[in-house]
Amino acid sequence: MPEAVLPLDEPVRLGALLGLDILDTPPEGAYDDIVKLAAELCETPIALISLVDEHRQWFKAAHGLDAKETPRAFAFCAHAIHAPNEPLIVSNAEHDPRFADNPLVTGDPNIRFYAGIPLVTKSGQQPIGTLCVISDEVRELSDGQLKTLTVLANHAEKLLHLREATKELINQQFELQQQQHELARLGRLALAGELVAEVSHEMGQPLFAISALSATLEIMNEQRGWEYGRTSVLIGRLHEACGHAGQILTRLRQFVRNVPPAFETCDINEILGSTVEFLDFQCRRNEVNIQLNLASSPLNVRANSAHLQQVAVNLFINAFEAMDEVDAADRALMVTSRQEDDSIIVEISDSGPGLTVSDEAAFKAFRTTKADGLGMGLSICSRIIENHSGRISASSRAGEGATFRIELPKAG
Amino acid sequence: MQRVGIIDDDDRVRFSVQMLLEISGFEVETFASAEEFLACQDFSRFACLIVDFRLPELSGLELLRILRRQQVLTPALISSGFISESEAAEFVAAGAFDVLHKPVDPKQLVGTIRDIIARAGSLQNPPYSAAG
Repeated sequence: MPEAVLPLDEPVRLGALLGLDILDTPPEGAYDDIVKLAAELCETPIALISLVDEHRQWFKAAHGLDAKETPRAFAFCAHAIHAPNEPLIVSNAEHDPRFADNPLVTGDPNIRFYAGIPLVTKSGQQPIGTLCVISDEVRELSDGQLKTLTVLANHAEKLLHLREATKELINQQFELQQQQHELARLGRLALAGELVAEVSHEMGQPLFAISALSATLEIMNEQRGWEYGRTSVLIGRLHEACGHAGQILTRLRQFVRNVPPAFETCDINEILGSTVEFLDFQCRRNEVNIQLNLASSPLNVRANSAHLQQVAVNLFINAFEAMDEVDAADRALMVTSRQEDDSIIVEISDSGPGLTVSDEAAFKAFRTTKADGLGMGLSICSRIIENHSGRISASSRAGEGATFRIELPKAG
Repeated sequence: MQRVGIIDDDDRVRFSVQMLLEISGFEVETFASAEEFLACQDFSRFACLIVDFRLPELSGLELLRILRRQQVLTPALISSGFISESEAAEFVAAGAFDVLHKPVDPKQLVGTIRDIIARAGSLQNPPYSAAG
């Protein structure tokens, strides 16, 4: 008995079948209805939706047959899938050299007649199985019955395509989630880098003062140079410097405080204000003049304030870096906030050279071309704003700087 | 007595370093900005300068460059908080004697200033050339 020769792209075909994740799943009414109709309309005792696995054919739906699967070596369907675009019709298996000694022909269920329409996947057009009708009588299909069988096979194929699309969507969603986690992690790392810069600068000041004052006291002690008034002043200054160091830590703690992921009502002006405070050092180091033009009343949004702060930090640093090549006197960062109808608008404009890519492509380009903190930063910004049901957009005119605009729904 | 100029916008740092250097035997003058320092005109009275790298208007680096252009070759120590290696290299290129990272070890600071003054005294020329 000649076994069906494996199709040339068998690994691809099997991959497509396994990708559907359909093998050994429970019966489904939609497929059952198709085989039932096929058997009725083609007047055969058996109808199957058979999927050709590596070593077996497995039946997603079977009418008139108890088996859930049979070895691939005996499968008529394994032959049918070699010509994915045409039906395989065997009128009398006993007279067909391919099937005459097939145990399914010589023994139970004594197949004589077989008609199978190959089922093909949507992506890659891989034949994964058939819709087939089987009888123990020698016979033919009428033109009408063949047409009906073909239509039913199309329906079965559509069901499989739907499953394929759903699978793909789930996979994409999973990948997207993975990417988002990775982006968020990188974003946190980038922010951590900024924090280290900030902490090491801010803490350096009081610690320098503390160490100089304590060394002074030590020297005075060695020299027995105690003098009540002077000592008191030095000790007072020591206390003050310690207090200052403590304040810095408190402020940083507040900045990175573990906000639960739940959304809360927060004032966007407060977030912008504390971001300016947080970036004071970078701002002075980059010699950027910040103009705050915030709405006079609170602009409340439902938000994860830590996430929005991360967006603001990223956009500010982005702007600072964009203005590196600009004369220090012309480095200006304009931050405005206002309410428009039911939206809160924040605009961050720099006086840099403008975006080097088209406005629409800005975020996309940053996403794909830059793998450093900045590129990740902008990509995360847009994700975070999207998660807040908002929009972020960029616009620029050559030589007139870039403006990043965030639109968030006003808290109800 | 050797006079040291401290140029730093942080009042706490100015005061505490002044106390440290005074008790260590130096005379000290403090300035809250580069501009304030430049206004004093007579730079020759300083044996050494301690310049904060980050100053409100003119930066520490700009101050150093201005001084070097005016052929003021007073040895300068740069005190810095967070500074990259390339930034530190820029200072050295502009004629800084050394870049100290805050918090600076007080004894090391005093020792370095003594070294600078001793070296300047033993050499006809300061230990670097005018640059920047």
